[in-house]
Amino acid sequence: LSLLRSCEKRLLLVIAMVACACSSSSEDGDYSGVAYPSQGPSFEPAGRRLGYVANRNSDTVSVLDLDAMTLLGTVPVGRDPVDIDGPKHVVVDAADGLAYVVLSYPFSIPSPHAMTTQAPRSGYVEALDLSDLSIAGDLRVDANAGDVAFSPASGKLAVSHYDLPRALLGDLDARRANVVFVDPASAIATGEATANRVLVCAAPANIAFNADGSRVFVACTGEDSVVVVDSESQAVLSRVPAGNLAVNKPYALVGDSIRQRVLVSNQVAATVSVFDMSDTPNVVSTLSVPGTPFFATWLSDSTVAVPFQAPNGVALFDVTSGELTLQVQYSDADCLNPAELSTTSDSRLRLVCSGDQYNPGAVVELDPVTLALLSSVAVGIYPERMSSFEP
Amino acid sequence: MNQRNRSNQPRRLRETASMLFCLLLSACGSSAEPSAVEQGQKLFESEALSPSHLNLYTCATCHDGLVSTLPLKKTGSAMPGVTQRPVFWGGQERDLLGAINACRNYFMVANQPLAATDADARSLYAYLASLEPGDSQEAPFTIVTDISVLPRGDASNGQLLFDEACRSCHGDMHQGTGKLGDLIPTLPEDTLAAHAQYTPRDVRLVFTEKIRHGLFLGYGGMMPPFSVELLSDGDVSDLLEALGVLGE
Repeated sequence: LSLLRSCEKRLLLVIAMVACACSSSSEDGDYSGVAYPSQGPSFEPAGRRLGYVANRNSDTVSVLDLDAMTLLGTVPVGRDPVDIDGPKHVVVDAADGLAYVVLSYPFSIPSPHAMTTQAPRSGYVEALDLSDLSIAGDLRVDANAGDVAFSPASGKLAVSHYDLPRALLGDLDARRANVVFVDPASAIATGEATANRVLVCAAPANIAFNADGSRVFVACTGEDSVVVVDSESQAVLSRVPAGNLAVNKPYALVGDSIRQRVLVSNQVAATVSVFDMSDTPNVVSTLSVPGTPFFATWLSDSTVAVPFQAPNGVALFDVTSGELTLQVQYSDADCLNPAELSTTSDSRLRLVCSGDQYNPGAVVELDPVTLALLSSVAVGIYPERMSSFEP
Repeated sequence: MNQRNRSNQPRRLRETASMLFCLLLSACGSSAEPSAVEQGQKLFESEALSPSHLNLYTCATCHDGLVSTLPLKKTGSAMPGVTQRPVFWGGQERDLLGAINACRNYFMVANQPLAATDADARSLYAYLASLEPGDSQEAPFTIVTDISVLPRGDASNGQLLFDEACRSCHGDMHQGTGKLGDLIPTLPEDTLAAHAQYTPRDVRLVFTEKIRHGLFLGYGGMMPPFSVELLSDGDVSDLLEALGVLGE
């Protein structure tokens, strides 16, 4: 009997072992490791000021440590694995831990086949996770997407469409392109965003929100005007001439830090028009620039610094008198095609140098008093603007 | 009776246990799933990675799972090392799953991207990880964007290149025997017929563009592009010569 019990026990043990092996083998169907671990760089601020530069012709965003003036990394952005997506401008939404980059698709390929089949390609806004710039979501906008602006106060986002082919059409309404509003911008990351289109003007170029995000100011290249749009009702509130000449060609447009004034760079007139940010903007000063002006910035309540091209340089102006107080020119090696000046809360001044659109551009630091070049960091191909994150 | 019954007890026990054991084994055998690696390899080599009935591709159409000894020029890189690479698609994609989803979207007619938590994505990763170690360096993939008229080439080398680079999808030259599907053009006849209104010079440009751009840069279709690392301009000239697309 004891032999029988012993035999019974052994058999049950074998059966239990088989059952056990059987149940464990069912786990083999699923991968137990970490699939697709992140291999890219991360960009935690760690108390540093960070700069984000969109490189239009290399399809990347470069991240800089602005305190140390070093490059932390460059990551590819965009949707198309072959074509140039043309990231033009990246803006930071610190509250939501996101950045938004506008994709412009600037190139059409000259070929007999493409000429018969290629339609204008829609632009996109891509939401990126600020921690590593991985893609969190995207939203389709119109062709020839131009600039993107974000209002931290309202959480809204606006995208212009610098549609020059459309601006050459005959009828004024046909020439006009949309500004797209997204409210809230963070919905792009969750796939719940909608693009609300407002027909604004011919070739709306660069845009800025006012302080509370209720208005968007638009440099309208194709109509030689500045347009104000109510971002709530989405009504066009006013259209005013961009400058005091017959042809001005407004392009760059930036607001001051407290959003009371806006600087509009007129590239044919070679002027910067300083407007108040009322619903019907008034010119408070006109600055004559010794070159083609781009994205200017305020150094103080009364001093504006303007980057210009052909030749490469930066000029300082007293806004009250309109007087040019200092101008410095740079060699192509130092800064080819200066495009945007910006300051951070520590009063340091940095300049984006676009380069020749075929080779890497740079971000350089300038002495805010003498405009002497202090340091330089190479970025990607054809940068134009930089946004900063301050801890 | 009792004796007999008692003497039968061990045998019955053995029989019952054997039956239970066999049942367990058989149940075990029938419920045993293939491993994640096996499932991933199956996905890699089948059209099942896309739900579309229009899909003609597998991953293996364009990529070698193992470094191949066959003289084939596949448009995509070999997979060993891929889970360690920093970027993909010549630096245009920064994460592996994004690169896979780009392939699925552009070539396999699968519009919904896989998430990293999806069973198929995990199995595919398990298979790719099982191929390590491999070449963890970025795979060069340089696309020619601007197309120009290439000089004449060598037809005999072009025929060899056709067999290595084109035949697995397009089938035999002129006949199309063995091509991937009815939508794939037989070369060069179907493509010439589709562009009958073009001048001979432009037809040569169109063939060149198709080889270099595939479906990208405004062309369309479902063909992958051939990088300069895979086919030099001289190779393309040779292919055009073999195809009889001479531009004259």
